[in-house]
Amino acid sequence: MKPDDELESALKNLRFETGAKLDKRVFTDAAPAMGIPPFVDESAATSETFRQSQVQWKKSQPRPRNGAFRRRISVGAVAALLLACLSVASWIQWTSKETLHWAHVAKAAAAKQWIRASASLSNGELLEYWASPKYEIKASRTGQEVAVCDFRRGVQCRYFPQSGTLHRSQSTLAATTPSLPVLEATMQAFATGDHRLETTFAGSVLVSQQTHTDSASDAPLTELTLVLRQQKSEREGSIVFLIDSTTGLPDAMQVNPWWPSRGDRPVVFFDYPKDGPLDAYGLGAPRSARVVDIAGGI
Amino acid sequence: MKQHDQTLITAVGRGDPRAFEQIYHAYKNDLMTAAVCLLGGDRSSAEDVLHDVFVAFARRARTLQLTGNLRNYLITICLNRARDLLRRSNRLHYGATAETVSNTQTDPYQLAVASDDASRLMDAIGCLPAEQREVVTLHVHGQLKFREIAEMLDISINTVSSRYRYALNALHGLLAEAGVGSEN
Repeated sequence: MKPDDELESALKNLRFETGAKLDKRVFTDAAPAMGIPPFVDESAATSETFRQSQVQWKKSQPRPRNGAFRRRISVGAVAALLLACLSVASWIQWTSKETLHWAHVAKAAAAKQWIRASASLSNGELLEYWASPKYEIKASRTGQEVAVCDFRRGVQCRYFPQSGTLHRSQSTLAATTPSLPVLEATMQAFATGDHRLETTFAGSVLVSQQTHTDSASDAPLTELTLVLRQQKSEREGSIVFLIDSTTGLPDAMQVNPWWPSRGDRPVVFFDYPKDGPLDAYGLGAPRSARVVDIAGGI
Repeated sequence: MKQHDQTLITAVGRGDPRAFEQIYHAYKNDLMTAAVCLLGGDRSSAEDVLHDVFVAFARRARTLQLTGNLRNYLITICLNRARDLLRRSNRLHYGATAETVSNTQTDPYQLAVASDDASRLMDAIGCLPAEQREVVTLHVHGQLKFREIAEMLDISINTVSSRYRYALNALHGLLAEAGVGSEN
């Protein structure tokens, strides 16, 4: 008779795996449940979402290869590997190891015209932020209240719907909206190209960066966690990004605040539109709003 | 991991197929193993259970706020689906499992089992009463603690502990009868 630990070990070693047919069946039926088009044969694919689903699906499937193709792949893979090693080596020299991951994300985002972040607050309100590395603008909208900061022109505008006034002042790095200040700071980092997070989180320092990718799957999302410490209180918090490994762009983000907070901690989603708000009017502030210049305004 | 899970769940709720794939690939084989054990070796029904688990998860992701961890959540759905299936096929009680065991001996899944010992172990699990099989599966393959199993099954921790003990004793006996480890 086997002792218990040997039996438990044998039980743990029992392993059943799903087959490709079951994987496909699950994904086909889960897609409509998620509100996206179902996975179908390649010939039937039409929409962009469909194609995207198929690309992801194909990535996880073993592909038949013939000898010549395999040889081409081998030569290509060696060349690509050498090239990648050279690029990584030069990149590591260019930037410090500590800021490598964030710098990569910020660099990928800097190539985009606009970055939009949106989050649903617990009161049902939708919070939207925009950042443009190209125009050096950050903007936000909550309900009818809008704020736009143009770093290049040095102008900051904020519309107050209650008074119907548009306050105009010199641009600052201070937050323009009280909700989700870390998100606003992150968008500011995108807008100003703060690759090293040196100016973004005033009073806090970047302690470490950690990445996590599920090695058991062919998943294209990488988790990037930035751990920050408030210098005065020494409290630590973190920002967790989900990064699309293909594009290097953030897909989602959540903040674990490093200050006592009972506020919202929603998941923020990013997308990358071609156009964005160049001024407060572009976000819905009425042109009839009375403009008030604040403290040595422009 | 919990943070990562909740972020992924929210992304699934938003209709992100990549997030769903990530969760599916992370848990599918553990859940498949648990389902096969819960169903006493019936691989075909286990595939149906696994399918239902992930489709149900995809449907609920939009409103799902995780209080525990995602593994426990998925294993709970898996357990409930397996119980439904067993109830429907009247295989919940001990006496009925003999038929399942004899059927599984000709089932093609056994071809994939690494050794005869593993195959006999699976047969022996199929002979256990369903409530003992549940405790063994949740503890060994679901990686749940006795306390968590007690909460999940709404029974006392002592009952969980004794069911697990009885299950191990029964497995020892069944394996000895089948000649597993007799050379030792």
